Amino acid sequence: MASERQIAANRRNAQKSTGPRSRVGKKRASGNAFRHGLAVSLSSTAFAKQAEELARQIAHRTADAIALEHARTAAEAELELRRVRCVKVALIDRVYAFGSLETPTRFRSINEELRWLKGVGPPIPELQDPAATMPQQEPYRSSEAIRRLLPELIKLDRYERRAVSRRDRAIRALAQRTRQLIKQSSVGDDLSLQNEANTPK
Amino acid sequence: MPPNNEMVKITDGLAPLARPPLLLTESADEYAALVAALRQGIKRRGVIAQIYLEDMAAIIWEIQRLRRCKTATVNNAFRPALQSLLYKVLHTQGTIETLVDRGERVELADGWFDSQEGREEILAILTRFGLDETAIEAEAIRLTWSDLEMIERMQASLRLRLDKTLGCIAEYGEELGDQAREVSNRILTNDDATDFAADEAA
Repeated sequence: MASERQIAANRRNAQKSTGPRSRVGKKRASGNAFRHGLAVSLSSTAFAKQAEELARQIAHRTADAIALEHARTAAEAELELRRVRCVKVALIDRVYAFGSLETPTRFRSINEELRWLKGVGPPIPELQDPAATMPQQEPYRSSEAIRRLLPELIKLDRYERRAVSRRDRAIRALAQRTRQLIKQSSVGDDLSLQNEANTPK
Repeated sequence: MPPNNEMVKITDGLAPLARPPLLLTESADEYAALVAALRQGIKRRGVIAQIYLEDMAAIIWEIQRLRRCKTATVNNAFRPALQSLLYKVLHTQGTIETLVDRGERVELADGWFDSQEGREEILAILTRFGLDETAIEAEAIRLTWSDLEMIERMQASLRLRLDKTLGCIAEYGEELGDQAREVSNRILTNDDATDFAADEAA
């Protein structure tokens, strides 16, 4: 564990840092928070078309704008949920095939690689192939793929839960709106019946 | 399980994105059978009922997948567990293991998986220290503890989501909720029983 003096020195040094200076470094740092892009909602034409199609099915012949909006939210959330599930499966399949999500490298850093290129570093390390340590038989291989991916899967679970909550909330709101509309239309029917009865013949 | 080369379209009437969330090694037929069992138990039709049904199928499938993964994770750790256990019993504290010793220990551990004699030799060593096969399993569980914990956390989250889905279905129609709960309980309980029988047989 770092001592108080070391912690203070680290903080002082960190204050001096202004981040990456080179263009490559800046570009690399700009993607630091990027993992899988699932937080970005899809806005492609194909996605919009699918969402609209599903929303129409959910809304079930309703022309009411509010009900349709709830149906759209539910449809979008449902499609996002399916997308997260597809991503999950694709990631597991990738680890199943290659043993890891990352491409195996020989060097731990660019500096280490540069040192080696200049001929001042240690001899070239052996390439560690993560696929070599994968079991060959089923269900052990796919289980190992899932095990290696567990931290990522837990993160994806969070996205799934969020999409499910959004979908369920929208469906609940849609049901409430539908009940309101039915009530209004039945009140309307009652009034028109009363009007018919009161109309002198 | 036959490989799932072509994705079958299971969801009738839903958007084209609806395809079963299956791994390359999982069987589309088995997934279709699960959906069919749920569909048979839940009589109600309609897109919303269909969405919840699909959700239930995906959740139940994933719970089953994680259950298999948990067992396989412990089994995969048997070899390192055996090596670790042999290190503990063969080396008195403070002594440094030479490369030759290490090689012999690894070979000895491999013997467990290769032949009956190797198995008996290790059992004899373990017996000397009052240990048996359970000690290997315990060590395997200890080595994979953090992974098992993560798997269990995911399973708990999925079970919670299954409950919520059932709650939503119940909100949508009380009778439908009861049917759904009964069907999902039946599938998961049957699965538990099958797993237990398989474990017993193993």
